[in-house]
Amino acid sequence: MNLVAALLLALPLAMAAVLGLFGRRLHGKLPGVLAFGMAASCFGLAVAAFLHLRGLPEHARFVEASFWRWMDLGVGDSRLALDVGVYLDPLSVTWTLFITGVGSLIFLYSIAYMEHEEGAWRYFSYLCLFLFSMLILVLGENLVLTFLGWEGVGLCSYLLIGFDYGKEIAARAGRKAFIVNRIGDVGFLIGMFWTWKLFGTLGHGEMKPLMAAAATVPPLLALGYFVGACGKSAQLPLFVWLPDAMAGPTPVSALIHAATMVTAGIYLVLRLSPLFVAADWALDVVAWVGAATALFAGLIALRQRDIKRVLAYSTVSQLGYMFLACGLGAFGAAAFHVITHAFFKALLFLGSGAVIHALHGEQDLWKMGGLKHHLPKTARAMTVGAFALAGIFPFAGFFSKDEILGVAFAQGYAGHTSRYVLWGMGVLTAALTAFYTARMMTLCFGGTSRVDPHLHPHEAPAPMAIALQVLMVLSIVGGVGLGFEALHWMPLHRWIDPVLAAAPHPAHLPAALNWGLMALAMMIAVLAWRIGAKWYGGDFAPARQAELTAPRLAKVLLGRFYVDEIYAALIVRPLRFLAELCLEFDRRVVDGLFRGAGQLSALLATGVRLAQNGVVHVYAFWMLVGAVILLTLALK
Amino acid sequence: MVPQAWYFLLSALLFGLGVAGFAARRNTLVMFMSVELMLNAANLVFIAGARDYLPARGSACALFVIAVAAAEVAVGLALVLAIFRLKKSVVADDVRELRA
Amino acid sequence: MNDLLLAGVILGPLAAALLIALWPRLAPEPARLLTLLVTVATFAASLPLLLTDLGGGMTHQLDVPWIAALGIRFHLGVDGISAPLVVLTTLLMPLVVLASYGHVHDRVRQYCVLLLAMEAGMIGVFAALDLVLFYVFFEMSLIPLYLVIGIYGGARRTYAALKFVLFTVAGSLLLLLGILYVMHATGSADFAALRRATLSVREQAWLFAAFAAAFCVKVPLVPFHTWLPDAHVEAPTGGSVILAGVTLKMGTYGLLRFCLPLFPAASVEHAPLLLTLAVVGILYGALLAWAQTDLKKIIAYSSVSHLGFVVLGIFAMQSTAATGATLQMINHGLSTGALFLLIGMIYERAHTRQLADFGGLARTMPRFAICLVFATLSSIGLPGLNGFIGEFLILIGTWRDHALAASLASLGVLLGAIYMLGLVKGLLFGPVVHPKTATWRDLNLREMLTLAPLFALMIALGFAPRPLLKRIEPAVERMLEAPRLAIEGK
Repeated sequence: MNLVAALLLALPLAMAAVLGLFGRRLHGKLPGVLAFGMAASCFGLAVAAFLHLRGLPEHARFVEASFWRWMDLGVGDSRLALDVGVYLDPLSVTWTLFITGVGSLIFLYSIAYMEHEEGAWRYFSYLCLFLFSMLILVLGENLVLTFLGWEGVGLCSYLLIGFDYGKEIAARAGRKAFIVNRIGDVGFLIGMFWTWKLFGTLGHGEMKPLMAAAATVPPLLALGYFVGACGKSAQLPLFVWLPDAMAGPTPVSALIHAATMVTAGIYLVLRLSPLFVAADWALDVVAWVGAATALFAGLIALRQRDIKRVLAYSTVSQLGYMFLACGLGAFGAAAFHVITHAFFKALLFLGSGAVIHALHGEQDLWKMGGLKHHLPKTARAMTVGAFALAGIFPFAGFFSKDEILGVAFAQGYAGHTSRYVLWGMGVLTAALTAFYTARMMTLCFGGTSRVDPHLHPHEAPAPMAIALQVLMVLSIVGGVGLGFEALHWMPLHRWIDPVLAAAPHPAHLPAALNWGLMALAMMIAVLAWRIGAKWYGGDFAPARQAELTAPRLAKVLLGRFYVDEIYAALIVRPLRFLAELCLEFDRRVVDGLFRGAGQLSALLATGVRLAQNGVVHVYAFWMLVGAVILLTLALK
Repeated sequence: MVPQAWYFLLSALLFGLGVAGFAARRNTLVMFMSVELMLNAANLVFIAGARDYLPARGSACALFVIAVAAAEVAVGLALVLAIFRLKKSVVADDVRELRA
Repeated sequence: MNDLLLAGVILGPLAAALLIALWPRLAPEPARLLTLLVTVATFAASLPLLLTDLGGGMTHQLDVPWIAALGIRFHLGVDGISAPLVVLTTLLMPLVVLASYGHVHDRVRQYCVLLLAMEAGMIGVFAALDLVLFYVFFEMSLIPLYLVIGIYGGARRTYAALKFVLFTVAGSLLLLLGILYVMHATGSADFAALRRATLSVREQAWLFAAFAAAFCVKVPLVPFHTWLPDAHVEAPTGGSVILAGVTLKMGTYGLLRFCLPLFPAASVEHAPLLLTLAVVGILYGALLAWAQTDLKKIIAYSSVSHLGFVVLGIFAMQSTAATGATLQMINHGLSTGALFLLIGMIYERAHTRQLADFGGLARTMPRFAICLVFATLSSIGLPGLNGFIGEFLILIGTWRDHALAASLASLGVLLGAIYMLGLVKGLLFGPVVHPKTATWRDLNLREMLTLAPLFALMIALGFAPRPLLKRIEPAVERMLEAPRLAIEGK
């Protein structure tokens, strides 16, 4: 297993280095093919690791492989010993599986997508580096290694968003992503400092029993990590970077900003789930932030014109669901939604990439329409993805989303009344999701064509199409295959739940109520979809008119609640002003004091200088006076 | 033998003359001569002292003073010459370049 | 047992400096080549210093009487704190010489003499185990740097050089007074003897103030930092590299080496003040860096911020933090050294350092772009590179007893990303601004070679810092013994 683990990390890193150093000399599709081969091998290794773990008894399902000692300082309770190594358990292996699996498909897709781009080798080098960082994030033996991957994926995201460096917007978006993430990182760091003081270790394996034994931990400690998770997983109030990150190439949006990197926050919360459970009210914060984000982003997505921005806000919204699940203590359900979301959101992004590719870079939904005739395969694949996103039975998203909502309702039913509010927010978000998804699909594929007549859209080339088809299949079977709570068919939960904390408020619904809720959710989703499809189907003119002559709320939605503007006014500009103020202060006051000291001595010198009048006789006179004084003193 | 006090008196007179000359005159050459007068006044005390108290040490000091005076004249006259070339004057008040 | 290696490492460059100064027929380029060879040889000779370990004690000691009447000895030696700093110095010098090919074209020989003399002085500072000897080297490294800034610097070089010297000398005057008092009070200037001497708390307070003032000016700790940006902006590339890479470390080194073990009670007493100043320095320096438009000033103020971390780690009085602080001295030398080299390279082409004049270099100078991004990542503490290990150890160690200070300092990590990425974005991305951008050629082999050792070390120290940490920790532990006793006594 050590070899497998080592290869899982070494292969992507080596490939990143090879492509980075020699990629310039590789032509055509070669860099992409090499990278894809590497990613596929990693998937193979992940499967091997999975099979190995599955063969172990449930209580011993983990492998610790240490490669070398990273640092080892201090003694006793202030010892800080960290290895560079790997911690394999069902949680990390699950993440590894879908990272490498979905990752391979996106690598495959990228071969064709980036074929005509300048500097594709650089793109693939970053992508390999990303894969390495993501794997070290989930596989790392301790929190510091996780943090290494955490920052590494942030860096790759920064590099890949700004990939087209001539574009000012892209460069700006990349920087914004990095900095907003860094805000979260400060929380992560503080969480680690505190954890070390409390537990004396940062190793995942060593922390596990300690966390389980801890009766209570300070809620702020858990919230430190949650701030980090909010940054990486784009939750309120740190979600602002993700929509802007869509400036990067579309496969990057699919891989990093939908399927894998943004779920790192969930991974962190799951990994530290015992800590969160022991941290009193911290979990409630997680739940409320998650639900609020889901609703908030869902609202914004209603009025976006850029197809990728619709998907970006829907990602933020879905991530909110996952945090809601975490906050409810349904950690397994969160993991379930992460996986189904990876399938259908990657599919949607790749599909939108195929559309954008066909339209030579056009991303405006208002300039699409009627594309199902030109791109039938893409339309079919994306429709599956859209159904899954909207939570329509029997597509993947339905099962995972329904499980989360079911837990919320069950906890309300068990007496925690406030959980009904969370459930209501979730259901409302589900309706919004179905509506904006239908709007997007209809504007893109339905109705009459508003495409620039000079363009002749055509289907995507083979590698892109294959990736789409595979993801389409996964979006159909990925849900029911992994779990159907109402039928007590839960293979994913049986696999992953033992390494997660148990829910602090377990609750169960009577079977009839459960089925009823499910039917209700289904009906809401279908109804919302129908409304969306109807409004935006048919003639486009009234729909556009409706969006243009917007009442106040809709205008706020279009302005995305002006969050960016509010942050600029409340945080960025005051901070910048403070910096300028410091500069003036430094120049005038601090340096002024020292320069003042210099001028003071110069002033003193001016006084003394008066004696030096240049007349020799005066000097002689003073000399005489001095001599007389000295003589007097000497003779006394 | 002439009493020692007389020598000292003469020396003091000469020294006072030097001081007065240095203070009163503006011509650098005359000021120089005044300085020489003071130095030689000191010399006179040394020699007179040498006769009565410490012959070796007193004479040695006088020799030192003579050497210093010679060196001083050499440097001083060179300076005066240089100043004269520059200013066409040897009056001390005309040279105030070092005024701060 | 006397070991001549350290003396050789110090006297070698000094002898070479004399040779070049006194050999009138030597042409400039051979002189530069000779300097390069001497500095490389010095580096090679200094490597064994790093490899010998005696559990934190002094190794490679040379102890001979010097001014016997006053009990002053020529006592050299290195431990886990000073050996890495000596090697950092000897590593940076050949790179500075290599870089000088790009920007020093007049008075080359004098430049070489100054560099070599400076090298001897700087190594001496880190190796001296006698206070008077330390003081001599401390001043000896100052004057050549003054001349380097004053002769080879930019337009306002005279002002900057004078400011640099006045600040430093004002500080070191206090240091001299302190040393004289210590000698008077204890009858010795030898470091080992002084550690056994006991000074009254009142004496300690005054001496600590004198020593710390000298070192804090050198660090520079806010509010004594205003000389640094001026000196950096006006200094030639080599001067900036040495200034940031080595000279500033003399301050933090002095705090760790002398203030903590010799005046433990006073150190503990004043630790809150220094911690506060360190945190203020971290945040204030970062904000100032953000507001700058001159590339060198950005890096200069970032040094104020980074050195704040080092002071924080030292006065947290915790071994993990202090070990991190020592490592961070090395890290800062590597990353800031690389950044100044890179800025020097772009200045040689563009003859401007205003951020607004640049843009779109990623397209025209890809190698430069990669190197700049790399150095930036090291500077902002990206995990996997050296800077992270230092910052992380400092903060996690400081957190144990000073959670608030560590939390506030963590914000410096965020601010660091803001201003450094602003610099990267301004230089590399967006549209091309300067009309002549296309004519600037990418980095050549010499320039890549200048940077390569630094980058190699950044990666190595990021992934495998343990050998170095293992060497540093016991030495740091020894410095912390006395303050720890003082804390317990309280």
